[in-house]
Amino acid sequence: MKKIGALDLLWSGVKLNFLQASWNFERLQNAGFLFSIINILKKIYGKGTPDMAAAMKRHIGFFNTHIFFSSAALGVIARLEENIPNDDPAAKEREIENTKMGIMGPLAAIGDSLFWSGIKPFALLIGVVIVLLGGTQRPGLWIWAVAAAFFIYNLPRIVIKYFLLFKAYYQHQELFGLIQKIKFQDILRSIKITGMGVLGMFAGVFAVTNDQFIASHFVDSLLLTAVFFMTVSALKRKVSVSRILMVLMTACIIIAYIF
Amino acid sequence: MELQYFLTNINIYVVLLAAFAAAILEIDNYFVGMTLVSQPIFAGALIGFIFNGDIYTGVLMGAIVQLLWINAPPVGAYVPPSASAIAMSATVLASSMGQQIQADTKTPVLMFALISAAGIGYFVGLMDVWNRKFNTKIMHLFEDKIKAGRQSFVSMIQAAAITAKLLRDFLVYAVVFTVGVYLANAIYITLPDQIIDAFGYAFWAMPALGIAVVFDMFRTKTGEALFAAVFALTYVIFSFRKPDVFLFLAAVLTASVFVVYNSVWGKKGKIG
Repeated sequence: MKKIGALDLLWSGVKLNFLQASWNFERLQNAGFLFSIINILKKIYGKGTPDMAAAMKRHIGFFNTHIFFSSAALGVIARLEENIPNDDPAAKEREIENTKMGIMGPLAAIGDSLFWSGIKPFALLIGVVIVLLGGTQRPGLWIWAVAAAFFIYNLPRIVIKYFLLFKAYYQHQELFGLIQKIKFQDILRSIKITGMGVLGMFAGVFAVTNDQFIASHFVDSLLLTAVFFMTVSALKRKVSVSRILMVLMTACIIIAYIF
Repeated sequence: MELQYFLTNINIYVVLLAAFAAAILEIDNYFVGMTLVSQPIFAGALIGFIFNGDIYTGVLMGAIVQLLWINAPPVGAYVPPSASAIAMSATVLASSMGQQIQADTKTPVLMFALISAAGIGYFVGLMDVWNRKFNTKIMHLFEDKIKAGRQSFVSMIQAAAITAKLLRDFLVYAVVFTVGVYLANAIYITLPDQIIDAFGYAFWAMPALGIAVVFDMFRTKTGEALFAAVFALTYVIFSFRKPDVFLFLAAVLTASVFVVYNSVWGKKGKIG
């Protein structure tokens, strides 16, 4: 049995970028996961062998987790595929399947909250704030804004993905302890609080400078404050942004016809 | 706008190039990579530049759309409207209308483009659902071969899914960037003045709406207090003086990190 090298893991990590390429409603990321791990399976079982076919059959089943945290699942599964002997295929199948099912949920929960509710919106907020504060007429500034957003989002994305991949393969028994030790909820809270600080500043500058439109500065401020609080209240009631836009548009049409 | 005038002024090669670029960027949104290049702030400006060199409209539209649809995470089977599609379509509609329509102010045009593009964003989201159903069919088609150990069929599933998505998006964007642009121009010039004024008012309120969306997404008890404090401080300082906005941003970031350390990590350290 050949040992999997760092380059094989790295190549699988690159292919994980395609994890959701063939996402389907039945088994979600199954084909993407098999596509990512197939070079490792080939190294373990050899091309065209019955064991290889059995491994492929095993991994065309259901798979769903967070795209960047999926590397941890891939590392652990690669290790199990390599370590568990083939003399009892049913037991091997059972152990790999159970591990896969057990690891997907927690990784998805951590990844979804950390990236989709924290790092990604924060990175984009920084980009938008730089563009809107500096003025949209400066393309040079736009490049800085995009670069800042890219850096804030992609640095943790790449570090977390490849760190988990190698940690999961080489020290898979320590992985779960490590994941439990990292205070993801606190990291998320920190990102949100910092984001609120930046947002407060952006709102303040916007409130001072946006004064050349409807009526006096006072009336304008009152109107914008009303829009802000009504939107926050609507979002709290799970009203979609598109619906809020339509209501705002209707209100503006009524105002335009009255005045 | 007359159809003949429109047809003689449109550069079909540029439209096809913009549609192809939009389709490529759209793939990054959910299916491949998810690196951020598909996000409105980047995609809007890039498509504006390709379409008619109008990077400014793209930057503005991208920033506004980004704020409004910042909270649309593609979790599990939930398919949100495509913010990238909204930004790219809104940019193309607004910049083409900006060139055609003689107006004192462009804000009504921008809002009209944004409202029209929101519908396109929902349609592209719906197309993603069709794509995912199509992917199930492809998987079933090749499943037996994969179970028999034929490795090339795994790559074939991936390639077929990406190609189908690319083709579909390319066609939709090609239609939006031609027929959509024509219809938007034709409809806009028939609108009464009051409606055009209403678009202007609505666009004026967009940043406030966007701030509310981000506020709702990031709200925590400490965060709300920090937001109020920074807002008040910024309002007072900027009312009397105009300090360098980016130096001020750096100061706010530093202060926020200090608050985070004390409210989140400092406490934990003491307990530990």
